[in-house]
Amino acid sequence: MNPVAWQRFLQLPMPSRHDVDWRHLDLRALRLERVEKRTQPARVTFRGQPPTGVIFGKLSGHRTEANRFLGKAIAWENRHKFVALHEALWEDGAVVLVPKNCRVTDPLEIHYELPNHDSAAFPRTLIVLEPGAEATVVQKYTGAPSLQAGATELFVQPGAHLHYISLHQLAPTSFDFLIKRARVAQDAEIDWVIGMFGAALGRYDIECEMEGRGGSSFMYGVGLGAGQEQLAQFTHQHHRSGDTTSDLLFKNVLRDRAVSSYTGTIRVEKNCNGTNAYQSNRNLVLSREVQCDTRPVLEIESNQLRCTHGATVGRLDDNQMFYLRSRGLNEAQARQILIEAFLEPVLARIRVDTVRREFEELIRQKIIR
Amino acid sequence: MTDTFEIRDLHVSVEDKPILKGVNLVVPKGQVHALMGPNGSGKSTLANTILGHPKYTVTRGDIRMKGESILEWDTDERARRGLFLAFQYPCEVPGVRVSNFLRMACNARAGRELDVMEFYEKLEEKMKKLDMDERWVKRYLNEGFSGGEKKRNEILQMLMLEPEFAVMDETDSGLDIDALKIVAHGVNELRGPNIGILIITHYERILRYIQPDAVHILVDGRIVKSGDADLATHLEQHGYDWITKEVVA
Repeated sequence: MNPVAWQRFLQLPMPSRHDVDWRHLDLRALRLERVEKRTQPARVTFRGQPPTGVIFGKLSGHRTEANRFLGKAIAWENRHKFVALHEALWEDGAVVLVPKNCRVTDPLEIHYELPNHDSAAFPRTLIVLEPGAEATVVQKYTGAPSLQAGATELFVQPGAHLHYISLHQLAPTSFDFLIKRARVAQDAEIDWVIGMFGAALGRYDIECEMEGRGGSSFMYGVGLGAGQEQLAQFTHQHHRSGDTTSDLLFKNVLRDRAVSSYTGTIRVEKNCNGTNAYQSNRNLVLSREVQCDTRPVLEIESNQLRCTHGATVGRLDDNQMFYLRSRGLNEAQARQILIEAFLEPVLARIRVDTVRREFEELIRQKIIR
Repeated sequence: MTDTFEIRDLHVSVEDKPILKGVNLVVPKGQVHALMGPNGSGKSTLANTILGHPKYTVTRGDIRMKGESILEWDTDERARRGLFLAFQYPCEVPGVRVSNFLRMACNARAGRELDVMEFYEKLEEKMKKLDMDERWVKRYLNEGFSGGEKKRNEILQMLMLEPEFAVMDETDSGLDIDALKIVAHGVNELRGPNIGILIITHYERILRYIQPDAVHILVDGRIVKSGDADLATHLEQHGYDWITKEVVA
């Protein structure tokens, strides 16, 4: 246990509706008593055949190599209560370290099967691509713990290229807190696709730090909410260097009485001319009981840059429905087509066919059924 | 008279405002009828009502296909049973590829999963007739299509779905002469004993390429005059004024 972080966790009050970041969320069902005693490690399975030289396995087996990076992407001190909790209690997780100029063609998959029932898990993931390296990493989280607080640190070093896919699908009774932050160096690129497919409450902080010229981040997300699930997304596009690009598209489909809130921050520091930062959040709402909120935050300190943001909350289009049905498709088919079409721009970013099909199947099960 | 498409004393309102005020029309299979009328006469209301658009309320009368009332059928059931509407303004559906959409529609119409190879052979054949190249079907449905491309895409769907009765809502509007000829060629291709077609139009122009068996004129929600193809020519020369006056008189 990290005692400093544990103290911080204990000191921070339980978030409430008075906090702007939590105002739409209801944490009353979350039980934190004796959380430290209820900790159970996630079962991690690894798939994929990396070439020699690549480190790919449990974090506990590679602490020496990992220590150079751990904690260097995510500074937990100024974060919310559950990041402190993760920092206090995490013990193990997974690591991918791809050495310089190494190209990994096979996708590397890390699957966390979280313990069920009255338990808590705190997996830490570290992904490092050294200069010129290329890899595709797929992360999956499944299971029914009462609580997960996880963190993933990503380092994309100069000229490296990471395709990163992350899929979160916990039980509708689980509380899920995940933070992911990528540091993107000069001429490096990260292509993200994050699937946020279920939890009683899921809070996802997805962040990129653009710290070298020519670096780019393409951050795509799809969130689904059904029943009374709550989905909170916080994205952060942080430009610390000029001539960097961050693009973002988060699309959510919400049904029943689901609640979602999106907060997207673009921060451009001084002397970051030539920055391109784009942000778009689109929400498709399938019932009148859904609550949906979207909020852009722009903190811009440079002058010469391009920055756009946009947000929409909409229903299925009546004219499109009529058009599809006028060709013989029944209501369920027409809805399915339109929902899949809505998500297509995100799914198209998944370059691993089996994973894309898995996303599609989960979307069908959850939203279209 | 069972192999007909029949509209009987049809009254339709939009948001409680009466638009159609007793339309009577019979299109037998094997024939092409034209419905002409000035702007605001109720032409598009009729087209959308036939396919059951939720915005339009039938307050009186009936629409019958092959002797059966279709009013209780949902839009998709009307389509599966062989009704087709070529839209005046086909909507864009980004994210849905033309080929995938057409295959689902053809399966729905057939009531079974069609053989994929057969489907694509048929699609290729129909596209050739409409002078479309193969890139067309990989595009998203109507997204970024020009006005003429959208109309051609409607005709492609009509050829693929092989309806028993088809309504074409101002398919000619916005088409240049070349596109108009292609569309007319497609319709003439489909024309025959197994289909009845109702062409709704403001202008006589398209009827030079598709010879109608009958022409009806809709004014203020009623059909005020019916005749043969010459009626359309007369309208072209004299406009709609004379007929409106005749009706008032």
